[in-house]
Formats: sequence, C-alpha cells, structure tokens
Amino acid sequence: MKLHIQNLSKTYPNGTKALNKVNLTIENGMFGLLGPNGAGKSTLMRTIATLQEADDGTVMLDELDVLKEKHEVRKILGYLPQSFGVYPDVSAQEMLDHFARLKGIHDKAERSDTVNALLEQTNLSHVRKVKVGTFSGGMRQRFGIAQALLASPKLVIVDEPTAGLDPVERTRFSNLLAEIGEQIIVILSTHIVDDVSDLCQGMAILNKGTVIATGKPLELMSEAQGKVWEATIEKSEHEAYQKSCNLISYRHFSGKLIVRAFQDASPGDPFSPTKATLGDVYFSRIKEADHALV
Amino acid sequence: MHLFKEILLFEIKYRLKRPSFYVYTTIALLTGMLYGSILSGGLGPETTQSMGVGGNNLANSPILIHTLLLAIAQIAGLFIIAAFMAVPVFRDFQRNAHSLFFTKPIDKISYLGGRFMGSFLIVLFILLFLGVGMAVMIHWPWEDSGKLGPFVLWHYVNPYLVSIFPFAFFTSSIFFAIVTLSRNELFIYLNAIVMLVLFSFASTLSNLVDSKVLASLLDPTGSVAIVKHIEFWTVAEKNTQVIGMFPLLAWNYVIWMGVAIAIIVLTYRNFSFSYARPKMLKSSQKIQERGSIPVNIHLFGRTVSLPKVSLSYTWQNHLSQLWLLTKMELRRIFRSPVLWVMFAVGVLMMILTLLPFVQRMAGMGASTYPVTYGMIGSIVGGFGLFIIAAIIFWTGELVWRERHHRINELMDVLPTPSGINLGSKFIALLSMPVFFLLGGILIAIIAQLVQGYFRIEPGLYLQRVLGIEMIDHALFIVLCLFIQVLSPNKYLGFFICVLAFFGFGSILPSLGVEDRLFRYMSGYRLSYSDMNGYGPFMHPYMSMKAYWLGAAILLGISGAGLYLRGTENNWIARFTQLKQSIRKPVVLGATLLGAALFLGFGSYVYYNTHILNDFLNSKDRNKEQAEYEKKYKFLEGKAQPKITDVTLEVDMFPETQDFHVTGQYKLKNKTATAIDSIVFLPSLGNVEYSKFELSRSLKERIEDDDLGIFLLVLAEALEPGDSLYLDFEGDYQTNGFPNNGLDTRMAENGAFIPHSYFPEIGYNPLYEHTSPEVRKEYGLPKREFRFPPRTDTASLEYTLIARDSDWINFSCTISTEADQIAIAPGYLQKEWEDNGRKYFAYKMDSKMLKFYNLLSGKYEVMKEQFMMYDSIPIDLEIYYHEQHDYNLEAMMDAMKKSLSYYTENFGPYQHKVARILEFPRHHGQFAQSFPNTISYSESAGFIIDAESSDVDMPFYVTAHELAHQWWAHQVVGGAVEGFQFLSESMSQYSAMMVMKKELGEAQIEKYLQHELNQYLKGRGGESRKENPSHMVDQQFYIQYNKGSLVMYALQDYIGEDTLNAAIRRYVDAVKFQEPPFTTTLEWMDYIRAATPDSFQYLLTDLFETITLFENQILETDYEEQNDSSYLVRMKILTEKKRDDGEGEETNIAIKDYIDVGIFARKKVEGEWEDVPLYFQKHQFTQDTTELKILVSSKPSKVGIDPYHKLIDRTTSNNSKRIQKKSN
Repeated sequence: MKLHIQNLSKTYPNGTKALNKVNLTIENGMFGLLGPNGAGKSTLMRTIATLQEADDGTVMLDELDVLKEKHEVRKILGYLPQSFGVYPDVSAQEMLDHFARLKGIHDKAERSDTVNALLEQTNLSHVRKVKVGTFSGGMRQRFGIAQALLASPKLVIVDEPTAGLDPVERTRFSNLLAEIGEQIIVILSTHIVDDVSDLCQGMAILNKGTVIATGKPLELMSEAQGKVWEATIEKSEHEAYQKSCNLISYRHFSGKLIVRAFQDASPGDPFSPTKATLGDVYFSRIKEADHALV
Repeated sequence: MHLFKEILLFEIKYRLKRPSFYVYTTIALLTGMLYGSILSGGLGPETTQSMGVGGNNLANSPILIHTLLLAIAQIAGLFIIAAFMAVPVFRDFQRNAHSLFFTKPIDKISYLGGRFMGSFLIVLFILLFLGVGMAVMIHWPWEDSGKLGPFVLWHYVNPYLVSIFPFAFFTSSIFFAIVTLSRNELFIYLNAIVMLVLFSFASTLSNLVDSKVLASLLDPTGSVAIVKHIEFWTVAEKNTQVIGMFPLLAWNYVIWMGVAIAIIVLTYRNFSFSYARPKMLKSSQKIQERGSIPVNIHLFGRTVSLPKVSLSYTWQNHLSQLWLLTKMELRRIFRSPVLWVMFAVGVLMMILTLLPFVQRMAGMGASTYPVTYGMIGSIVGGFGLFIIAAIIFWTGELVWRERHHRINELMDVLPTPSGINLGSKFIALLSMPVFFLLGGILIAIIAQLVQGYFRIEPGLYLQRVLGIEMIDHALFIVLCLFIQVLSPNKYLGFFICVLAFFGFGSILPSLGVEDRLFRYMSGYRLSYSDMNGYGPFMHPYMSMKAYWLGAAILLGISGAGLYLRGTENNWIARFTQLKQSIRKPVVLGATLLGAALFLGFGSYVYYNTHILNDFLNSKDRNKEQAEYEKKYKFLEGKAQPKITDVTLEVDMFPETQDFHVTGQYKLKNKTATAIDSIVFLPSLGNVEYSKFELSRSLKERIEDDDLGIFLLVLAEALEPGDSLYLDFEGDYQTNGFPNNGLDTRMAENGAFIPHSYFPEIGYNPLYEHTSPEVRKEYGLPKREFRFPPRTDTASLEYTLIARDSDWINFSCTISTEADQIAIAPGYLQKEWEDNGRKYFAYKMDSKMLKFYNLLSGKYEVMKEQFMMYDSIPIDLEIYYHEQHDYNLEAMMDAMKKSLSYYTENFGPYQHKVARILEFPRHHGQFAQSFPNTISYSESAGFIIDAESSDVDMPFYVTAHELAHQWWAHQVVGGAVEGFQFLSESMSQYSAMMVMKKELGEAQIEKYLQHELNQYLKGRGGESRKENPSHMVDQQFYIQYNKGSLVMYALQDYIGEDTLNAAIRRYVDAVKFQEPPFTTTLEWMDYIRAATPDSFQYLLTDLFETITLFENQILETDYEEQNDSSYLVRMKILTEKKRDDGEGEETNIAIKDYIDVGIFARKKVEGEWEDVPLYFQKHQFTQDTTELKILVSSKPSKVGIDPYHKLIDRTTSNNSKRIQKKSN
C-alpha cells in the first residue's frame, strides 16, 4: 500500500500556515514524522485521520481518496490522538470491546479473541478489569494503541505517543510500536529524534508546514557523516563560536558546554569530528530551513 | 484578616474584567426593562392587563414594583447568583490554581470572606439593574396611558432593602457553601433545581397551611409573608403604601438569615487549604503496575499476529451498535444524581397536587373524585417542567459528552455513522420522560386506590402519558439535539433550547405569530372528558403532530449530517457531510418520508385552517370586533321588535358535528313607534342560512357576513302592537378544523347548542371592546363600561338575560342519533323514531326567558316523582353519564329540599319538571340554570366528592342553581346596577337557608368565613370601583361572596321569617312582570318596610354603602364570684368605617348592635368545642367600650362578633382567650 500526499495545504483562520504544499509518499512500514512544536505534524496527522479538512491538495491511499471518502478510510484506520480521555467508569476490556463493536467486529468470539490478544500484546491483561480512568500515562498510551489496532487497520496514525512518558514506559511503548508490522502503514509523529531512529524505516522532517527532508533515517544520517564536529567549551565562549561556526546544538556538561557544529570543513580546534546522528540531521536541517526563511 | 481587603478588591477587579459580569448585567437590565415595558403598556395593552394593571391599579404602584422585582429576582436572580456565588473558590480548584494560592500565607477568613464578599457585592450590583431597567421602562414616555403615578425613587429602593438583599444573601451563602465544600460543579445545577423548587413549593405550601404565620415563616424568600400581609389591602393602599418591615417578615428573616449565617460558619469550619477533598484522594491516585516488568527489546520486524476478524457494516450491525451506544448513554443518565433529584422533586410536586387537602383549598372547599384524567393532569403538571428541564440539560450533556471526556477524536474516526451516535442519544433521552411518566402513573394509581377509587383506566393513562405526551417530548428532544449539534458550546446551546421552548410556546404568539404552522411542536390543547374522550380535539391535534413529526425527521437527519466530526469546525465540510449522508438509501428514504409528512400534513393543516376555515389572529379578531361597533353602533338605540314565540326544529348530527335548524320567531313591536327596519345578529356559531325571511315584504336586505349582521328594511313599517314572523333555515357545519378556537359544541356525546347560535335581534353592546387600551388602539371612543344607574328607565325595558325578548313561548323538536337522548326546556310531548333517528318534541307551558340550550347525549336517566307537601307532583330527572353516579342522591335530595323551601317561602315553582343534565367539560366548567333545566359540566358537580369538604358541594350547587328558577326565571331585574344582586346574591341566600336547615348554623358559619376571605381578596383586585352590594356591576366577589355575607347578616338581625315574608311580598309583586323590570331599589322598599327602626341603619350598611368594621377584644379577664359564678370583664374596640369604593376610608360614628359572646370549653360528642355561655347583641356607641357580664360557669374565650357576621378585615382578633384576673 502507498499513501500519496500531494500539495497538501492548510491555513487556519488566524493566518497560521499549518501545511504548505506538503508532498510525501509513504509505504508500508513505520514512518516517522519529525518536527518541532507547531510544525504542522498534528494538522497533517489529523487531516489523514479524517478529522480535519485541507484547503488544497490530495491524499490518496492507493485508489482511495482520503479527503473525500472519509467513511471508507475510517474502516481501515487506526488512530491514536496526541492526547485523549476516557470514560471514567469503564474498564479497559469493556472499552476495547465497545470500540471493537463500533469498528464493525460483530462476531462475539472474534471480538473477544481480538480484545484479549490486544490486551495481552499491550501488557494490559492484568489490568483488564480496571477502569481506564485510573491508568498511569504509559498504560493509557498502550491502551490507546490497543484501540487503534482493533479491526486490522491498514493505516495507523500515532500522534506524539511518547510525549510525557518516563524512559521505561517510552521503551516499552516503542517496542510495542515496533511489533505492529510491516504490512501496514504506520505514521508516527514525534519531536523525539530517537523514536524515529529506533523505529522507522521512513521519515520526513516537517518545519513550519513544509517538508524539509524526507528519506530513510540511515540514508539521511550517512549523508551527514563527516560533517559533524563536537567540542567542549566554556560557557562564555558560546557566543563567539556561534558566530564563527554553524553550531546546531549544545548541552551542559560539568559546568561546561558540549557543542556540535555541522559543516563540511572542520571548524578547527577544539572541535573534533564525531559520528553523525539523526539528531544532527534534524537540527541542521531545521536551522538551514529557518535561515532560508529569513 | 490582614489580607481580607486585598482579596476582596482582587475579587471585584477580577469580576469586572470578566465578560460574564457585563453579560449578566445586561441580562438583568433587559429583564427589568422587559417587565417595565409590560407594566407600562409598551408591549401592548393585553400584556399590561395580565399583570393586574388597569382601572385604578397604577402601573408603578409600590406593591407591584415590590412583588414583581422580588419575583424576577427569585428566578433571574437565582441564575445570576448561581453564576457568581458558586465559583469564587471552586474556580481555583477548577483551574488548578489552588496550589498556588494555598501555599501563600493567606488566612482562611481573608480568603473565604474576601472571595465571598467580593462576589456578593458584584451580585448585588447586578441585581440593582433589574430595578433600573424596570424604572426606565415604566417611566418611558410611551403615549400617556394615565395609569402612572409619579416617580418615587423610594418605591424602587425599598424592595431591595426589605426583600431582595436578604434573599440574595440567603441564596448566595447556600451556593457558596455547597460548591466550596463539595468542589463539584454538578452541585451548582442540583442546588439551582432544589432552590427553584423550594421557592415554588413554599408558595404552594402557603395555600395548604391554614396558619398564616407558619406559611410565612416557611418561605425563605419572604414572598408568602408579603402576599399574606397585603392580602386584604385595597387598591388605594396598594397604590400608595410601601411594604415596610412588618413583624412576620422580620421573624422570617431572623430565621433564614440565621440559617444563612450558620451555613457560612459551617463552610468556614470545614474548609481546609488542602490539595483535595479527603474523599477525592482515592480516585485521584493512579494505579501503578506491580513489580517491574522486564523491558524486552524486540527485533525489528517481529510482526504482531492478531486473530483474524471479519468486519461488516450491515443495517443489523448498525442496529446493534445503536443499542450498544444507547446502553452507554442510558447508564450515563441514570447514574447521575441530577436525574434522581429531578425525579424525586417531580414526585413530590405531583404528590402535593394529589393530596386531597390541596384540591380542597384550591376550589370552593370541595375536591373531585380522583378520575383518571384528573390524575393525568397531576402527572403532566407535576413532571412537565422537570421533563423539559431534564431534556434540555441532558441533551447538552450527551451531545457534548465525547468532547467533555476528550474521547471525541477516538470516536470520530470510527466507521460508525453519526446518525447511529445521535440516534442513540435520542433514544436514551426519550427514556427519561418515559421513566418520569411511568413513575407518575404508578403514583397516580396508588393515589386512586388509597382514596378508594377503583375505576382505573390503564388504557387512558398509556394513551395520554406514554402516547400523546411522548410525541411532544420526542419533538422537543430532536429540536434540542439539533440546537446542541449546531451550537458552538454547551451553555449557549442550553440558552437557545430554553429560548426555543418559550419562543415557540408563548413568545412568538405574543409577537403576533399565532399561526400554529409556524410554531414548532404546537398542537391543540387537549381536554379529556369521560363523556366524550378527547372528542373533537384528537384529529386536529394528531394532524399537527404528524406535520411536526415530519419536521423533526428532517431536523434529525440534518443534525446527524451536520454532526461535527473532527477537531475543526468547518461549515463547508459539515454541509458536504450532510449532502453525502443523504445519498445513502436509508437516509434518503427517511428524508423523503419526513418531507412527505411535513408537506403532506402541512398542506392538510393549511387546507383546514386557512381554506376550510378563515385564519384570524387576535389582531384580526380585535379589528373585526372594532369594526362591528364602528359600523353598527348607530343602531343601538333604534326601536326593535321583541321576540315573543320561538319554535325550533333541530336535527343534530353529533357524529359529523353538524346540525340543521328550521325555526320560526314571532316578533312583536312592543314600542310606541313604528319600526322600519330590523337588525339581526344571525348566529354566534357560524350557522349558514339558506332561508332568512320575514313574513312581510322587504325594501332592502343587507347581509354583512364578515361582521355577522343582517339588516332587513321593511317595505312597510311595523306599527306598534303589530307582529310578524321570521322563518329561517340553516346549517351548522363543522368543516375540518380552524387554527384557533375549535368549536367543540357539537360533541359526539353531549352536544350543547346555546340559544346564541340562533338569530338575535338588535345591535348588542356586549360585543364591544371593553379594554380602554384596545379601544384606543382601534380608534374607538372612550366609553365607561358600567351598568346604568337603577333610575335609567330606558334600560329597565329589557333584562340582561336577553335584550330582544321579555318572556317567550317556546317549543322545540330535536332529532338525534338513535342511541342518544335530546333535551330542551319544557315538557316532553312526544318521542318517536323515524328512519333510524330519534325525535323528541318539547313544549314549555308557561312563560320563560329566552335563555335555553339544546343537548344531545348518551345519557343514563334517573327519574323520580316528588310529591311536594304531599300534594304537588314534581317530576325530578337527572341525565348523567353512566360512570358519574356518585352524587345523584345528593342532587335529588337537594332538589326536593330546595323546591320545598323556596315554594314555602318565595311562592310556587312555575314548572312541573325539574331536571339536571351533564355536559362534557370541554364546553366549560360551570353550572347554569335554564328554565326547568340545570346544566352541569361533568366536572362541576357530578364527580365532586361530597365528603371532601365541610359544605356538601353537590347539594349546595344544586340548591343555588334551583334557586335561579325563582331568582332570574321568575324575578328578573332590568339591565341596570344590582341586576346580579337579584339573581346571584338572592340565589346564594336561598341556598344558604336550605343548607342551614339541613346542617345547622355551625356549618354555614364555616362557609361564611370562606366567603369573607374571598370578598376581601376580591376587593383588593378590583380594577374599577367597588360598588355597594345593591349596585353590583358584574363583580363576582360582590354578587356571590359579599351577597352571602350581607344576606346572612340581615336574616340574623331581623329574623329569617320576617325577611322571607318581605321577600315573598316582593316576589308576588314583580314575578313574570312585563317591562319596566324591577331593581334592587324596589326590593329595598319591601325590606325596609319589614325592618324594625332599630335596624334600619343596617340596611344602609349592608346594601347601600361599603361599611367595614374593626372589632377587637382589647383586654379581658374574669373573677370568680362567691356564688361560683364568674364576672367577665372585657374591653372592646368597635370601629366603623365607610369606604368610598376607591379605597378611601373614613371613620364614622357607631351606634350599632353587635354580637358579644362568652364561651366555655366543653366536650361535645367526644370533641372539645367552645360552647356559648352568653350570646347577645349589644349596642355600641363609642369606639372603646368596657363590658362586665356575669356567667354561670368558667369561661374560656370571649368574642365580639365572633361569627363574623359583619365585614371585618382582621377577624383573628375578634376573639380572645380569657385569663383569670391577676391581682
């Protein structure tokens, strides 16, 4: 299956350009959508998930016009919104069963097998009788993915699922996503670079409504190899280095700063070459795009 | 306390910054302006009158301003208070700001006190705008209507000080406390409901509790105390006096302010600066997974294998989804305390209306049997508003539920059609009224059984409550769903729903949109009759509802189509979604069905209400009525012949609600001038004439069908003493149904044709507009609507009963369906069957007034021949509906005893037959006395529970109506002041005397107490001028209530026999007289002649003036004498006053005989009673008198006029418990 997004644009009434002629082709497997807050990730996700209208452009899932035939899309869609609530007084199992029926699984035995399998898969079996309202954040997200996977969806959209999770929960959730499979399209939006590098076969970086990079994570990383330099500097030197070289990130370490630069030639001492990460790709592309806009 | 001022100012500043402050201030101002405009006539004269303004009642009387402001404050103010007082502290929790505040060094008093006072001051400020708005509009320079007193600022300020501020404080403290302590928004709603009910409950309760003190203290708003306080105020007092702080109100405030302060103290004590309520802790703890679950790193590509599922989207599956969602919604509704509180309060309200003593207080002291339709009325009345409120509230909750729980994005991406989702909400909402009403039916049936009534009609319950009522609820639910789907938020949705409810019901018609076709949900007011079912109402009602059902289907489909799915409100997309949804065959089918119903029944209703029948709104009708006067007023004084003979042949077709009439009148010129033209009012009931011919040739014939006037100009004038005949033939046809004013007279069982459906002669001023405002609007000259004085000889030429006749000869043949009996005044001459129809020929053998009705129904008959004084045979007949046999014996008994008393005292009965018959209640709820025939509405006597009151109502009403056979049908006054004294007051007197003979004086005295209260209340509501009883001018509180009082007093003072003898002489002199007719002046001549000199003053007091007393025992005690007798000392106040009819009272010198009584407490037949030891009339000549009276046993109570024979505004101080003299 292929999801073709062509020239998708969206401007909000307040003038914010959320999507600007977005073109993407997404194939089966996990696809990561990376971008800073407000880049338009959620708008794109919600548009594909039939929850919003686009001003312009098309979204085709093979032959299916996603923007027009919403009802058909919903039959094969699994969606985990960025944040969601639950009815306070309903247990996980009941709630999943409820969604399963609404998704069209009417055979009782089938439904119960699916619900149990999903609870098992998401490690929620032991709390199946517990009210979802009392779940911790991680459990709630796993419940969210369980409901999204009901009824064998062909297209799964997961909007910033790991935001707010602690490291253990995040790993647990990533593993779960990784298991979903290669036969369907899974689109994952996040602003955490590691989520994408760990999980995704394909990715795109979105900034201010525009796609500024797309490809496979490994390919994008290999393009950047040899261009990333790292140095440990005094805090007071930061400003000077910012002027003299293309710094893309910095972090504090033992009272000093570790900064990374992205450029073809070495910025010189104290910089030394280092292995490029997806993070470097991300920061450099964003910086590039922002400069281009100025 | 140190931060109190800071927090107070912060709160006020915060409030002033919020838009809600300005919104509510505007609402308060507009509400005040609305009522101000209503009072001052800005919204048209009709609305003004509904507020009791008019005549002498000023639009800005301090009483009206006070009571109205308080009433508005109770409703509008409640919402303002709920909006502002519930949240000052709760807000911090809601926004999670409490952790910021609570960690600051703030003390509780400053925090709570500051927040409370800040918001409370804001509330008071907003409430002021009610008065501002009202004052502005009352004194708005509309065209001067002359009903306005000068502007007095104090009249607007005083209500705030006396009533509104205390009310606001009480209510505010409760809202503040409940929400601050519970920290739950739900309690705002719950509390608002409970408070609203509490207030309405208090005023209902006040009608039940005999004790004025208790009733006043029970009502936290103080309204009851005020209503009781001003109960007997005259118009003049109401126009000038303000309601100050009187003791009962002060005590009320002491109690309720105490409660409010206690609540505040309680709030202070229980409030703690903690993160959460202790109870809440449990549920806010998130569960943590036990143990550590190993973090397994899986390899890429390990596919999850889930069991295979099959998906299907058939309609059966959709139905099962619908049921699934419905169950979910039902659980939501029925688990909420709001529903149960509403239900409980509804049950309470219903039980209240069912309690027998409630009904007793409401009516004239008697209640009806718990017939099923009455029970249905209680169910619908008890639950009605709660159901509406519940629907509005729950529609909002359900439509916004997914978004409230933030589960909407999960739901919206499911492949379930929106219609299924909305449909499930609809069904769940529908279950709520079903539940309420079923509960109501259950209680009603229990109530019937408890009262020993076993004719339970389950079918009728189900048909009305679960059938008819549910149609309306379903229609309203669909409308509310639609509104909430389109509304940008829940609260605006609530507001629009409320607006829609009142808009379609009452606001649109008041704006001139009366056509039912434009008012969603409108139908016809259904009135059930045991005799006739829903009779003529059902068909038009159902046609309207089918029309609205079509509209509701279309609304529902639009609602589902426009249902917002997704996170963005995009109208273009929503309309696209709607268009797409209609393409589905099922939806398309439903749309076509809805459109077909809407258009089909719409056309059908239009055909009926606009083509078969003329559509007239009230403006049109007012205009026609004005036209009638403008065009034909000149005919009023014109000499016209009088009808002397009426012969009718009427074929009634109750099944098709038609009749055919052939009739002949004999007309005679009784005047001294020749008559050249005759004016007819052909029919008040849309009879179309095919023949309307005089027995003489005409010069000209004018038929004004629009205004219903025929003017026939004779070729040759009718000379004095000459006669001619009118022959007419016509049809009354019921064609479909009109938009308003269904004519239900030709009912299938119990058809009732009044004489006014047949031709009347002359221009009738009774059909002129009486309201001065309406007259002005239509350019009619100012006219005072008063009866002419008794000296106006022209008006003595005719009676008020019929202007176009004196006494007539009457015969009538009626044919009707084979299973019915037809009845007209007179005696049955012949009865036969022909062609499957029954014929009844009636003829009256004596003179009678032209005042009759023709009935036909499926009657049971009870007949008895009564030998009066063992010598005069009278046939007594009762025609009744088979189920209504409760009071037949009492009615028979009353007829016998009344006929005997009246014959003995007032002269012979003019007929050989007396009959009572029953007619369906949708013709009206009255009893009326026609010649030898008394018609009772089925609810006005036949189903009254005679044991439910002190006075046996069926007996009393029968006695009163039978008395009219003398008072009106023998002695009838001219059309002048005092006419109703001769008919109604004399009938009241006659019936009371029969009752006195039957039950003894003690019973009558209880009845008189009721009459006194009614009279005093009635005069307080007088909008023109109060007349003395002998000049009564269609004033119910005088002709009935005061009539009873003054006549009873008269017979008490001069003696029953003396009075009756005088009355007898009067009757003999005037009965069946030809014009000029008698007046109360003539009546008085006979009474004066029979009254001893010492009581002559009394006749002036009782009949010719408005005389009031203030009789009071000021002090009393007793001393035991040596001979074991007791010397009673009493100091008595006897003030006598005259009222000029407009509330101006002057004290006058007293020289009156008044009862003085001394009582002892004794056991009579096992019950303690005050038995008179001494009872004498004493003459009083000064305002204060001291009496010393020796009695033989120990006194318990003394009284001045203890039985209230004289009119006294405070009767509670007429008697006093007596104490032993302290030394």
